[in-house]
Amino acid sequence: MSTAQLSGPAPASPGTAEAGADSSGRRSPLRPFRPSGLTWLAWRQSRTAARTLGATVLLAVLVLLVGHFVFRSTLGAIDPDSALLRIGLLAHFTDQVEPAIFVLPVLIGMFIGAPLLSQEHEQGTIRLVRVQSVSPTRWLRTRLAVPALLVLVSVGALAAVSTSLWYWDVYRLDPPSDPAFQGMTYPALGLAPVAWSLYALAVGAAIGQFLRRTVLAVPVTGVVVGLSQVLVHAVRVHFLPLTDAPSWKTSWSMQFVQPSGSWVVEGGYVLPDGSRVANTVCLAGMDCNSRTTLYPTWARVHPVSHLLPMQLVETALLAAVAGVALYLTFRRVARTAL
Amino acid sequence: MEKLTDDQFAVQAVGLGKRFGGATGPWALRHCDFAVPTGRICGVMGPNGAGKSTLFALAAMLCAPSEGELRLFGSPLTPDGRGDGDGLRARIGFAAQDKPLYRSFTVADTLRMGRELNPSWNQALAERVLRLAELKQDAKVGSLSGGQRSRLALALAIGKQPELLLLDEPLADLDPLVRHDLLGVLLSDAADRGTTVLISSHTLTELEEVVDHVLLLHSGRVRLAGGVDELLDAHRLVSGPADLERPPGEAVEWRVTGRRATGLLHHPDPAPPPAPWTQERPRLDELLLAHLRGAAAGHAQNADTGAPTTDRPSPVTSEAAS
Repeated sequence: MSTAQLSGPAPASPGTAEAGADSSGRRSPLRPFRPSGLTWLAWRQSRTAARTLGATVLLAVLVLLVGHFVFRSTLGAIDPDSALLRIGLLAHFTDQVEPAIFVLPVLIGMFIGAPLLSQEHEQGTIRLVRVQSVSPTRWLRTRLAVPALLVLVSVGALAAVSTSLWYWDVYRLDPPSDPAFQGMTYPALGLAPVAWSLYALAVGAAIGQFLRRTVLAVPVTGVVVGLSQVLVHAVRVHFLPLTDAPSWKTSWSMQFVQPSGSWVVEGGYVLPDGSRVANTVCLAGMDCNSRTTLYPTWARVHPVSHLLPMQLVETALLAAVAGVALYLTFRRVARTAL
Repeated sequence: MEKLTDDQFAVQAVGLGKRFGGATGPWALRHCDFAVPTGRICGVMGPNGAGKSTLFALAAMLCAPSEGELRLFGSPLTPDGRGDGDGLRARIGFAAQDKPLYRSFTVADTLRMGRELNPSWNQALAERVLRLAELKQDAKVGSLSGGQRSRLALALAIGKQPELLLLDEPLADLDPLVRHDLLGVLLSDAADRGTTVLISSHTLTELEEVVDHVLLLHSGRVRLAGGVDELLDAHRLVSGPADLERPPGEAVEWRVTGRRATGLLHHPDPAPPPAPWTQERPRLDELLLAHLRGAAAGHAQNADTGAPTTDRPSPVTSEAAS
């Protein structure tokens, strides 16, 4: 009841009357962002994080674009397909851009997510908020939504730029380099940076709520998000069913051909009786590929077309875990407050 | 007072108890029964650790009771029921003892928060409270002195224009001059709007002139509750020769020094005692002190005889510590 009144007409008191005149005075489409109510509070509290994140992302986008144009205008002007250009762009991308985007979610979880609620508990301000005319769950919703939106927009922009540069500058060249499924490449592409950043934010906030101490919540969030990355990296291969790589008949054997950019998960030889054995049996002593025994080969792969569906599955998984963390956080907040 | 209906009480406790640290934690407040009618200025008195802050936290809906119930404007808050929490929140203003504020905010930001989160915000009133402290609007809260922070926290609670104003040790950090001015602003506004005020102090004399109702706490129990005038009328300070029989009435405190006996008696009948006893109406601080000393003595007695001070069975609650 009281909360609904917040968005209603301003009551006649000197302060609010002034604010009312202020906001209704000019209504041009270029009106600056002027949040009110809980949104104002959450925005005011996220301002430093917004500036840091905004500046970081802007800088990163700038570095990406400068790298792109420098390589293109120097080496690319001489020969667009030059090996030097390719190595330069590739190294730039794999050595700097990808690791940076890979650790970004961890940093977001540690320095935006973890302090979010732990500081409110530490400084006692959670009690200050609870004696205002707003419900604790509504406060929490806004408190989380505003930084989440900031992360979504800034990391989304960064991911869009880095993914398109990866595609045009690195991957699309012939033959393609830096395949999408590689260790650090995958988390830097497409949906992954955004999904992981939001996940880290939610998990960090939940950890902050339960530990209530910033000095603890920050490192714990770092470890939890880092471990999640290791774990998901290990199980990612099972997110989608593998497909058979087509075999290619050469004059002397059946060889599989690795589809461009694909992830070869397993492979081996087809024995005369039709059974498939893994490559590893050859190491164990079996004569797989000599002049006398030329077995056809087989392989199971994730083709590059699996990239987006795989990231969708991963996003859903992260959303589910983050959802559980948020559910517990909301329940805790609703339970301790009346 | 018993004839008043629920909504004529701003705060009403029925067997109210609160323990911290789960089902085995110590009781901060127990077996509390009292009622504060609306529009009263109620002094919540008691030594440190008496349970004053716990009572304030309960009344501000920062935590749920562990047993019994607390009714705010007739709406009950119980261990499992949350009542009309969100509706009540708008009607209650609270300045906690430790004055939590956002340190990175400026004074103006803090007031803006009050404005943004409270539909009944009165900026002029909040600024009047602040002007007394001559706070700069662009000063960072983190750079303020303790007294200035107190002042800002009070401005935030008062600017909300609540129907029930809870002030936990509001004057502790303030110098006497400011204290006086502030109480003036506070009480005149409360009188104008019929606000019920619960104001605590561990200094008994501080609020003597402003309260018309008292709630005396000791060791988590209510020792005395009621209107100041009624309480003073029902007590008398008597003195006389020690060898005579004590005049009728329940002795709150009785002392014999040499051949003279003095004490505070609780007796509803205002008729004077037989000569040579003399009597006078106690001052509020005398009344409160006598009850506190009596409570402390009773407490010690209980401890000596091993008598349980908590005789009622305690319902086990699964309340999370806050």
